[in-house]
Amino acid sequence: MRSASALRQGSDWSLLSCAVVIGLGAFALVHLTRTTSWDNALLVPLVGMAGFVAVELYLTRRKIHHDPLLLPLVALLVGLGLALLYHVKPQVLGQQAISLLLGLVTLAATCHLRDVRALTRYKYTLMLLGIALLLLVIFAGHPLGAREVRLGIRVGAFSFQPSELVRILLVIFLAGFLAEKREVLAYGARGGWQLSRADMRYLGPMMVLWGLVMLLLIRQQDLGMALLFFGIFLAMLYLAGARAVYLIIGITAFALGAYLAYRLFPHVRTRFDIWLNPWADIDNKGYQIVQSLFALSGGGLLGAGLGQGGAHRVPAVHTDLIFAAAAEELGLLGATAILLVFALIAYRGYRIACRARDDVSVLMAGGLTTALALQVLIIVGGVVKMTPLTGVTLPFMSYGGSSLISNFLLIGLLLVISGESPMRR
Amino acid sequence: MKQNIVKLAILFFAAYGVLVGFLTYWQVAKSDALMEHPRNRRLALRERRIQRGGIYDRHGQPIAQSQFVNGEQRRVYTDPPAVAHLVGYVSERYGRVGLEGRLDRYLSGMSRDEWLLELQDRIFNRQRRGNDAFLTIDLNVQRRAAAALAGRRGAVVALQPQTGEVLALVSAPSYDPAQINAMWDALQRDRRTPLLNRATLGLYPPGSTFKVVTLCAALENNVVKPDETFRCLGATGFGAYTVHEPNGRAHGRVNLTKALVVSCNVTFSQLAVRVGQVNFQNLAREFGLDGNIAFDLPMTTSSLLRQGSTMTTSILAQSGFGQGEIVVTPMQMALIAATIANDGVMMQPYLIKQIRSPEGEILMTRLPQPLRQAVQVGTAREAKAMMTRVVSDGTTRRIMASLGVRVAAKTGTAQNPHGKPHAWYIAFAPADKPTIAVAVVVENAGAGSAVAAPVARDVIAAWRKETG
Repeated sequence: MRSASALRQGSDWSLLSCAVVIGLGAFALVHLTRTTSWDNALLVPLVGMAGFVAVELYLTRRKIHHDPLLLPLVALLVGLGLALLYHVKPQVLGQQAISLLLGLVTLAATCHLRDVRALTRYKYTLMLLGIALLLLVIFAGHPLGAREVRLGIRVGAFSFQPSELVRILLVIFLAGFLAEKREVLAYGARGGWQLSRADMRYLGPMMVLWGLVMLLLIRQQDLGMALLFFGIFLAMLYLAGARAVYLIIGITAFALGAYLAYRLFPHVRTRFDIWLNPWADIDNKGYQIVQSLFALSGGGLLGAGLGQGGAHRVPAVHTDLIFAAAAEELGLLGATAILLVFALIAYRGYRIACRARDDVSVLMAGGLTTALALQVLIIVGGVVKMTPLTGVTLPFMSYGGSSLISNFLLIGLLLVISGESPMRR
Repeated sequence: MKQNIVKLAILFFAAYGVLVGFLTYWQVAKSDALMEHPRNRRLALRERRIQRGGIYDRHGQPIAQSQFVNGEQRRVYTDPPAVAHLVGYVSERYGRVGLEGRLDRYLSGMSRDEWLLELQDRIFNRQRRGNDAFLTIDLNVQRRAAAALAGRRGAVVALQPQTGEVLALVSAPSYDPAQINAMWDALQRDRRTPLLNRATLGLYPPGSTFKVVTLCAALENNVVKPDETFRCLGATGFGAYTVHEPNGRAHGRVNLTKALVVSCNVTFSQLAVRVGQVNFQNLAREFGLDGNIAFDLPMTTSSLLRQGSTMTTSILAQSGFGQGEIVVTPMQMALIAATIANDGVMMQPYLIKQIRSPEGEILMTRLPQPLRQAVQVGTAREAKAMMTRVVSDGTTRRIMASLGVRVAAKTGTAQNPHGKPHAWYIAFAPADKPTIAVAVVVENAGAGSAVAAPVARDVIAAWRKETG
């Protein structure tokens, strides 16, 4: 297994070069198709890809051990994302470039963290911060994105979407919390299916979270984030080895809440009905999903070509629905390749979790990976009409600073965990 | 814990697999259906990038071509009003009409299974182009016909009798297909209905030009003895109905040829009644009336009777000289003339001769196709001889003289409820070996000999000049 240890040791420059070349090439292709060219635009991928190389160099120099695949995979997604953005909404490229650099800095800084358990020491503080941020959004947020849903808070000139950060805070909190209470969760005070008073103590956070999720669902119509938070929670409970009864309570509670929301709140019902039949109201409610499906059809097997699709008609295509543009321009093969890249990232993430040295790291790596993988599933599922379309970003590809930076933070944490312990062999 | 991680990972991989399944459904299985959805603008957008194929005449002269002007495609016509009804128009708002609609699949270059071609074009950065259509039309004849009709309402159809090839197809008043979007409302409001293609969709009483059909019916059914003469006293009665000659003029004693030359209503009404309604209708059907003639442009069916009407003796008598309830398209009359010119063999009329790819590869070629022997060869030849006399002994002798070739023809002055009679002229030339058959109608213009015949002469002259 020399090759495996070599792979794990250092940086894989050939992979990163591939990603850089693909990213730059894709961007150049789009540039060639544009009639009104903006030559400075070429700086965006150049600087962005140089950023990845710089970070990789930095990590190598500092002898920070890390997973060699994650950065190249992320670079590939970012490169394609920039190329797609250049076609569907070139005016946001500059901002995306700044966010990208901030994200890379965040990642590099995160990698200095030698031990993620340092974070779990502040788990309650972090969770309270997360809850505070969410409440702030729920009660004082301002509209963000095309759907006029209050998702953001404004700090000076910057708009910030806290839920992107909160999902990471949630993972950190749960990793610390669940690692502490594993025994009880797994076997219970009395064991089996019976719940004791002791169990109630651990069900508490679950209920708080359920309440928050319901608030998100009802007040914000943010079905996507609600789904994501609850999914992360359930997945981490499962990873921690919680008894089936916890999982069943969790799923039932969420299903019940969703059903009640469907019965009681027209906007939730509308969203569900659009999913079932978007063709009934093509011009208004069903417009987004129908346009998304049109974009998919335009791609076919091989795609319309980079910079060639008509996906710019899809509302929010530069943020949540960028996958529709990717599927149109790169076709079924390209879209599948992107899903494969996400699957590879998930594979590396779960692999890191498997090899992590203690419960906190295992849970955190597993949780972070789940957060990423589930978010991809939620938004792509919506784009292909597998599930109701709910607004979450596609990691590393969608336009959006909060999303990009927090995902770099997520990858940074995974890299830290991957470097925590050399392979035990 | 690690087992759970593996299970969770497998769950996600499986879910991603389902995503790919959904993607395949939309991008491959449902792709065509979604692309053709009326609300999907992609096909239109894609089409805009493909240079639309050109439409050319029989000699390769351009009739309509597409050019890129500032990145946008423009359709350029050699002589817009002269070819408007022939090629039709392309408008994103008002659709594709005429040959532009009929040939859209070829011209747009959007046929399926061309993805490989598309890929090649993209790799070599070639402008993608649609296929070119070559018509049977002779653009010079077409333009001459249009010029002859200028300022009038009417239509001209010229056919090649041996092949059924359409040499000219003109309708007036016309419009500029390049301006269709800007002019749409005005064109819609215009009472002269410039958007109507009169050549194939206009229905007119044929008047005396229909006497050639009655003549053929009489000859086919042997109802006239050789050397038989008819007496025209200016009017004749059929029960309660009386046929009058125009202005009540009596033609006196006439044989069949003379009756055709002087266009004697009395004689032809008697002939129709002699032939009888069944035989008369049968022969009209042989010529294409009351039946659907397949054509490259939409065409109205010419008919002997109004919907739900029955053939009475008086209607039959009037039908004998092209009145009664008969309505025909100019194309129908051109077909009748061409059939007689072609020894009674009716050829399938057609406009689209060939489709070629931008590289010159022939994708489709049409060959002449006989429809049926409408009348016997002998009948056709006798009718031809008599029609020749119509010119040599009749009112249009002077008009046709300049052609320097013997012409066979029949005039018509069709009474109609909309004012002055329609002027008709059907002709073919040269009489002994016809290369062109023409039908001309000019609405509310009076006598066929004075108004329609010069138009036919111009068309024949233009064609003679082409063929030497």
